[in-house]
Amino acid sequence: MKLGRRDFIKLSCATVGALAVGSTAKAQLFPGGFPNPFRPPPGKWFEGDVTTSYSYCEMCFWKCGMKVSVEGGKVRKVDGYVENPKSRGMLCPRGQAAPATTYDPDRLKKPLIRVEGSERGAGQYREASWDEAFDYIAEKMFAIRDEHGTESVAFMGHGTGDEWFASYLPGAWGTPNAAKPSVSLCTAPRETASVYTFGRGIAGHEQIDWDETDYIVLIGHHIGEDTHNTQLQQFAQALTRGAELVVVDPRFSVAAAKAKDWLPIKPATDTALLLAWINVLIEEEIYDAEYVEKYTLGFEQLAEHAAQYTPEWAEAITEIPADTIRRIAREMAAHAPRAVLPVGRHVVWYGHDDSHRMRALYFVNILLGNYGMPGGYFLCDAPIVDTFPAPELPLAPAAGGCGSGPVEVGDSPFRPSVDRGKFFGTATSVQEFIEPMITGEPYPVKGLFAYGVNLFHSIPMVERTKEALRHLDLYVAIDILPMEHVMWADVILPECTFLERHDDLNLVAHKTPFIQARFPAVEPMYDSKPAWWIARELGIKLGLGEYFPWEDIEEYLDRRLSSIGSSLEAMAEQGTIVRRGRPYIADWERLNRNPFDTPSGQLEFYSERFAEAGLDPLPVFIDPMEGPSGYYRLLYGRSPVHTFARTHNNAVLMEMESENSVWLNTREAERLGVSHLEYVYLENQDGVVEGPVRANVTERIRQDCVYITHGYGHKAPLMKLANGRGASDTHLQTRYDLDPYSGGAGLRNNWVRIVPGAPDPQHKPIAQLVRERSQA
Amino acid sequence: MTTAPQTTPIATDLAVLDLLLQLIAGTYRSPADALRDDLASGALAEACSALAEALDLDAPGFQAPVWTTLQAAYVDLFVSSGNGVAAPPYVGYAIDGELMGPSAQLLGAAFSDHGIELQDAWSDLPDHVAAVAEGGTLLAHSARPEAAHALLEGYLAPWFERYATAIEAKDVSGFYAPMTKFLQAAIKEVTREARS
Amino acid sequence: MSRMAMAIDLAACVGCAACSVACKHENEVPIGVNRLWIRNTTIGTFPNLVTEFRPEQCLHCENPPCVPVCPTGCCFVRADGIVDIEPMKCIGCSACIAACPYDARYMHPDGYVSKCDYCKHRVEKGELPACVTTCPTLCRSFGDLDDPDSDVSIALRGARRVDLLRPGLGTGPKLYYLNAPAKFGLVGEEGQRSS
Ligand code: SF4
Ligand code: SF4
Ligand code: SF4
Repeated sequence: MKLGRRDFIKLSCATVGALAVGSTAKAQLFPGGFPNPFRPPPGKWFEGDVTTSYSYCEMCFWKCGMKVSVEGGKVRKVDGYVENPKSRGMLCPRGQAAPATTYDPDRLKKPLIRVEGSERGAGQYREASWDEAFDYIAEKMFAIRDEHGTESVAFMGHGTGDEWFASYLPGAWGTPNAAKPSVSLCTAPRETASVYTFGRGIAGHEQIDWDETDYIVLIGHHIGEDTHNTQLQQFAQALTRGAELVVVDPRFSVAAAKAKDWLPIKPATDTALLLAWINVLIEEEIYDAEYVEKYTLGFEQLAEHAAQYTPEWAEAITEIPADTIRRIAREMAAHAPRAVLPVGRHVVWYGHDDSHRMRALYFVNILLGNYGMPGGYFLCDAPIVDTFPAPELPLAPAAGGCGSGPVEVGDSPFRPSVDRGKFFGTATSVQEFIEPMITGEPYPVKGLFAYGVNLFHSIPMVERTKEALRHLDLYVAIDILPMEHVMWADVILPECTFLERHDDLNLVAHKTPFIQARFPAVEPMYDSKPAWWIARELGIKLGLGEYFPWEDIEEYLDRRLSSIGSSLEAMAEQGTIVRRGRPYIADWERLNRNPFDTPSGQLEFYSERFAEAGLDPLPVFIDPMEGPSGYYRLLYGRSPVHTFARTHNNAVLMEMESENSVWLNTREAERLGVSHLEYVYLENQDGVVEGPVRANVTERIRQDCVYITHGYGHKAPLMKLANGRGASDTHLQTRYDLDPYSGGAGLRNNWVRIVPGAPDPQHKPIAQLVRERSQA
Repeated sequence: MTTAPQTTPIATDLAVLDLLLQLIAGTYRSPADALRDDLASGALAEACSALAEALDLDAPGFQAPVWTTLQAAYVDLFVSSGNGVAAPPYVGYAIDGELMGPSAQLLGAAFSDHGIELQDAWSDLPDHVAAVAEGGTLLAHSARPEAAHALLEGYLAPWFERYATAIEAKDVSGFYAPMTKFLQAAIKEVTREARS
Repeated sequence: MSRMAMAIDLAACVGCAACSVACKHENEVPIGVNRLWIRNTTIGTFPNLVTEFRPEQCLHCENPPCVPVCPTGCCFVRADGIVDIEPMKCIGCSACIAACPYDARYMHPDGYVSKCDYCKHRVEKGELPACVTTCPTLCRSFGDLDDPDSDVSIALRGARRVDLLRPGLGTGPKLYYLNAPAKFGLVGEEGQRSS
């Protein structure tokens, strides 16, 4: 072989800029040759040079303190550490699987811009530099501002970085349309109810004093299936210690399997049961009279109101025998105040009923005298760490968190958020932002940022969401994986995974409040960047540089930590700083302080404020919506190995549970001729079909409802492991009922029928897909 | 397990090897102005013809592709795709089935032994096929053809074996498919000649 | 000499599989095979039901049927009672896989047999196995049976009931199931249809 006259042609494109000759001295020592690649067995990672660093987990939003082991430049293992009050040395399956997400080959790698003229959703992209991507975004944002005002850009965020994208940047830019799905699609009713009852929110990680309690009543609370690490630990320890457990659930949940009493309640009637318990506690005078006398307001009205809610009345509604209702109430009272009805996390069930149910739940707890008492609900606040000195934002951040309401727009120059006035509470509601994108009412929403929010697997009415996206002038997605909604964006910005980045301090309201820090264990792979960097660089492009006066995150964190006498260096050694809390009322009374921030300073049974707004001042039972005949109410919940719809491309977790199944009562299955593990379709009341999904024919559920775990049924082929497996509850949620108090979207008002005879989709085993992915 | 025999140094035509590696680097790097210029000026086609002539192969028959189509095809094939990335562009992944796995680590160490270092500006993994090919040209230029050759045979060839068919099946640009086919044939030719 | 053993409290286990995922990363267990898996069974009729979540793995039997069948001697019992495999000596003949009545062994894609080794590398450093460390319900205890103060000895003494997996086989497992939720002990054997 010979090259002819064209010897040594130089291609300009052949210079990649990846590698260069560095130390020639070193090279000269090397005799030449190149080693053959090899396959294992190399040494085990733990025999190598292992370094560890501190982080906190982001596989779900419980954020357990984590220690990350790195060997050979790669994250090998993650563990909890005992000094951290959230992990306490342990991690749940999702946390343990964190490295598999970082090394997921499907990850987003570069900023991408949708090819000019291609349709949203067609998935045609070109690579761009960060600079070009930011310029593109800034230009569109300025155009929206000039035509419609800054408020016409909406922000949605979920995950640690949402502080930047759903709070800080919107505040700096000037839009109140910033929301987190973790509020109106999850916790909103319990927060509104809590603020209006206790004068305090429920701290993000439910403030249940598991370690001290003797009697637990769970209402539709899926501990063990939602593996919120600390909560699961404490729950299990309480049971091991001998605490008694009662579970109210239409389904024999994992928690129910641990219970002494399982009350298989008719779905959507929980409020009736709670009202009956209030009735029994008061009628039989077994409530904590001293506590009620000392700390509450409106007991007389409550007693009068609850007189109508007898156990017999509740039996007819809930299908739980009146005797059982009475017996459990007496048992609770016997164990009070070390008896507790924990508040759940995802409480947007039936909409119109949700805040009533939450208030009724709190009232039972108050009657047991357990709020602020050992074995009930403890009191907690997040530790205070100064913010980095920066000019005040033009608009106070609006999104609110799990535990707080947003600030009223008041007489600021900005228009109120598009959902203002639709409901009583002050949260902002993600799902209420969608309609204005289509109708332009009350004013147009033309731009959207989605940070870590899965638009098609969290917000009900998916087709409406898609329609709304088509109306936008700008849609930016910031994410880790190419989820389906991401591949609709005009600009896709790849975030690095939490193992590769710093983040802001995590200030945790806990029995022992604490501060935890996240350090990158490895450099970001590809051209992915941390949220703080993306927000700051974009802020600078938008002319908002004054609000980001730090050079880098190290400076930012160090400055914040210095306000509590610590430093970034100290945190790198320590990971967590634990503070003393004031968990019980007595701790506050010693300081002559009142923990209840209600207008009356008391725990309020009767709410004047609700009455003034024309709402029910006391919780009532409202007849649930009924479904068409032949349909089952669609209930949904969690798998212990998955988080929302975000972990379904993680090979390790997918191998543990690769598809969901629809739980169907044995007798119903017989009637329909459906056999166990057969594939069926689910068709909802509006004709939307999901599946094929396996039928789990089981005794573990009532006959009037079916159940699937959330997060399956991905429709993006790029999510190679997740695509097309199981059924999506969100896609079957084509209606929701707005809670008039909190703005929460009640999602369990959808019904499905079972359509037998779906073809077996012949899913390949995950192991085979993993092999094929690497070896095409 | 180590299966391939240790490659013995061979007398190879350095210019041919260099050109092949340059073409691999040039083809699979992110499509930017440099590639656009090489396509527009005909330099790339000319280089292909030269290599084809030297190896007695048919030159790849690609038309000047629509630039935005080529860019979108690149993202679709190698970066992020609505249908699954056809060809993750990492040679270690093709060998180990794992990102940053043992082969990628070995490769990095070997480059470093040869005094070749990763540039700060490079924002992708070090075993990206374009980067590895560039490393090969550096080896070739510093007169270490046997190392460049081992790199081609041990690390680049397996990537083509794994992904060439997928690229040919999924490419819509009319550029990546013929180039991949051509480059794979060229690699076969060069490694065959080297062994014989 | 010691006899390392594990006990799992089935009254606490929720079948979350944190143990299994931890094992996967700790021991670089390939996708497609597992050292540790969860069997989840329900018996009874609505609303009188019992659901058992039972993690299964190598039981480190005192009379391990897998060891004597190995032609190369790569399967052996360590001095601390851990049943172990020397992968470099394994010829991949699969005799031990067939001999194990609990299906604890698998073929590693690299051609040797592997299984749970009670995380011997951790135990040797005085640490607990990865699955024990991470379990969020704290239902796993580990230690030396010959030491009355070990976690496992304490857990065994405190248990309401103790069960072995298929005790009739005489394998003498050193993995104990505590406080099985059903009155009669462990629920059925594999293949039992869940209700
Ligand atoms: S509960 Fe699990 S996934 Fe969530 S933060 Fe903790 S370890 Fe991570
Ligand atoms: S981690 Fe613990 S609770 Fe979870 S399945 Fe394993 S043994 Fe059971
Ligand atoms: S002891 Fe170690 S090897 Fe055995 S199952 Fe537990 S984690 Fe896996």
